Amino acid sequence: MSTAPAPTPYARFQGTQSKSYVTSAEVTRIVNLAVHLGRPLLVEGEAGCGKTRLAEAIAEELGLKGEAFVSTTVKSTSQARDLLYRYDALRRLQDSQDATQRERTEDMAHYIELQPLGRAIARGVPALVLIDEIDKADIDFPNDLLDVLDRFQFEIDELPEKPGAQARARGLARVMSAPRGGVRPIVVITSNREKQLPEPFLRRCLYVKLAFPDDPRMLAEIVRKNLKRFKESAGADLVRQAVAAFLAVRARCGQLGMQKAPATSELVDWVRALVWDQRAPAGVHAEGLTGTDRAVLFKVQRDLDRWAAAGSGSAPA
Amino acid sequence: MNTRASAPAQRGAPPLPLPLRGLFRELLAHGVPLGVRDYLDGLRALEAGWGGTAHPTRDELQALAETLWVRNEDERALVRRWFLRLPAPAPLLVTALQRRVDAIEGVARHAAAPPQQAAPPADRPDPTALHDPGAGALPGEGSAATAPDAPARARIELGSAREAGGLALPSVAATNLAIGEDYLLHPHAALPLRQLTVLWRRWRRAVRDGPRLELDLPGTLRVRCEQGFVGAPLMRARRRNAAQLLLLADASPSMLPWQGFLALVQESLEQGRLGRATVRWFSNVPRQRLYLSAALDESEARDDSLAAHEGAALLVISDAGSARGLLNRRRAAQTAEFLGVAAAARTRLVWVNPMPQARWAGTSAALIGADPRLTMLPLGAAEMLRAVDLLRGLK
Repeated sequence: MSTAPAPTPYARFQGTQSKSYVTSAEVTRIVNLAVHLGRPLLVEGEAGCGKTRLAEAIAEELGLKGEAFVSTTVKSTSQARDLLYRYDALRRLQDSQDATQRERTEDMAHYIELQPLGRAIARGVPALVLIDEIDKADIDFPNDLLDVLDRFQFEIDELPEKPGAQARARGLARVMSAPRGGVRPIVVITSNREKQLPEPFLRRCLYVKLAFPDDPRMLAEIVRKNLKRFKESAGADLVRQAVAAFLAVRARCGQLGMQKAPATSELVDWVRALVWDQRAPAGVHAEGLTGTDRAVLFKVQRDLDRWAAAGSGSAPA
Repeated sequence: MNTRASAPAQRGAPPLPLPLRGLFRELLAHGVPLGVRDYLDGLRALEAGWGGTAHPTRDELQALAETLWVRNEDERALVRRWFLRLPAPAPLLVTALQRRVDAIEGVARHAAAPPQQAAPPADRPDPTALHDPGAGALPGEGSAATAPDAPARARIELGSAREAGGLALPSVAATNLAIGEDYLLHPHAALPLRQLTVLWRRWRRAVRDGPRLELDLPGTLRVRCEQGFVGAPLMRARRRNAAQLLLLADASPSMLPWQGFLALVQESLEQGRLGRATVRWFSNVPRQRLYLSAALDESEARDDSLAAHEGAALLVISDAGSARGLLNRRRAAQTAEFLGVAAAARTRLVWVNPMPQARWAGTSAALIGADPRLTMLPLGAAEMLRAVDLLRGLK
């Protein structure tokens, strides 16, 4: 049976304080609930809609910087243990062949290195751990993380039951957990839904699906904040026109059944390209996309072909 | 209604507010795997001020339930249905009733109609009134003859007010359903991709062979302890899965409803980490030629294919004529010939028939099912698990 987490030490996430991220009231509410309940937050949504940026915005707003914000990108070869600790067996073998290092080999703790999630659990101070693109990993990966995310506790199999002096000095133990009075890290997990996640894993998490914002004012705000991040700016007319054209492009993408409709990251890139190209607002239309526009907005050759074949008003490059 | 827990959830004393408590039981009754922690998390969320007020609205309670307890569309539909059927809180009910009755009386007076019928009590709706063809007309509209329809109109409108906390009266749409039941229609695969993949991964025949590329750490340490001096590290071959499967899938028109499932099986085999998994296609019966794709274009000799997969377990997925429901003698003879060839070279042979078992009788499926050299199973999660166990060699 899991122990109840200590009262949350985290401030309330308002969703308005980030310099470059805009979030809806519903998402804000679920983020706060996940933080309060000490449950991992699983974020899904189409590519480019800001899943990773949501985690960064939470960290930014709650003041979790430096070591308190850990981001780890999952690969197809990742294993759950890679997020917790690494055991350097080769180094130990090498040391065992060196007479001057032989004594060192007797204490396994020299060869154990905590990894992002393991470190955050062991430190027990406020932190945010981002596990990015969990669906890239093998299907066993989420299952292996289940117990850790349930109890915020893990075992280092290589360490003996009674750890040596080095292990004690480094704060390592066979069973690692937060120190007494410590707090759980906020865990944000993103997924592009390339693989279905197991049901028990979904039950451990609170779930947020980031929908594409279709409110032009919200999109304009997203553009404005992100341009500021790049120390750039665009005229209000250009942003307004670009957002209107972008929404028309997305609607057309839906009608054409395109594989990857442009999302917010493409919108920001597009406005940056328009500013860089010194385009006049009057010349920005969904019906007259230039070659540059299409290169920024569409990422799949088949989509480019469909757009061209549908005669969707593309202007020459 | 008390929507706040009065003591910490961990002490276990305070229950969830009634709508959520009932919903929790409803979800459990429908097999949603919720636990004590999910219940306690509901309490903790309310304690923390979910919704921002001491008395969350129905919409806020519904949003909380969906956030905490819902993980798929079926469960979401259950929650929505629950809140849709929930009776309104008393103050809202009174307000809504009063507003409607006032409106009806006002219109009726204006039309100088004969004395009206009073609206029946809200907790005793008269469903027959909803079938009245005049029920959809506005009260008092045009002539005094429409005035008696007014109470029915009021009930229908109150029924639609449920979303804002109105009555749980039957709606017009609900009364149109013959058996008084609504349906949750969401397309599902017979078995999801993940489940199929996990099934294949259960099947492991680990052997070490090939070049010695992996460090044998225990072996190296053992040699060092035994000999007492430092030697070169020992290497060993990597472990690989030697399990082999040949899947023969039926691409005939009678299998059209399961083509999506067959595509999923093929995809799951790619992720299943078997040593070797090959899919070949046929139409109706695996005759002399097998095909490389479901389009049945490029082919190879069946016997060559079976010989090339000697030692592999054989899985056939086909309706074996049971979709048509007739016994075709020629087909039965061809099937018997295939089984003879297939069973001569291998002992692990399973046939999965996606048609319900009740439809097998009187078709070649019944003949195959009675053949002691193989096992025919219907399609389902438990049956696929059994099929994989049989293919692994477990009896």
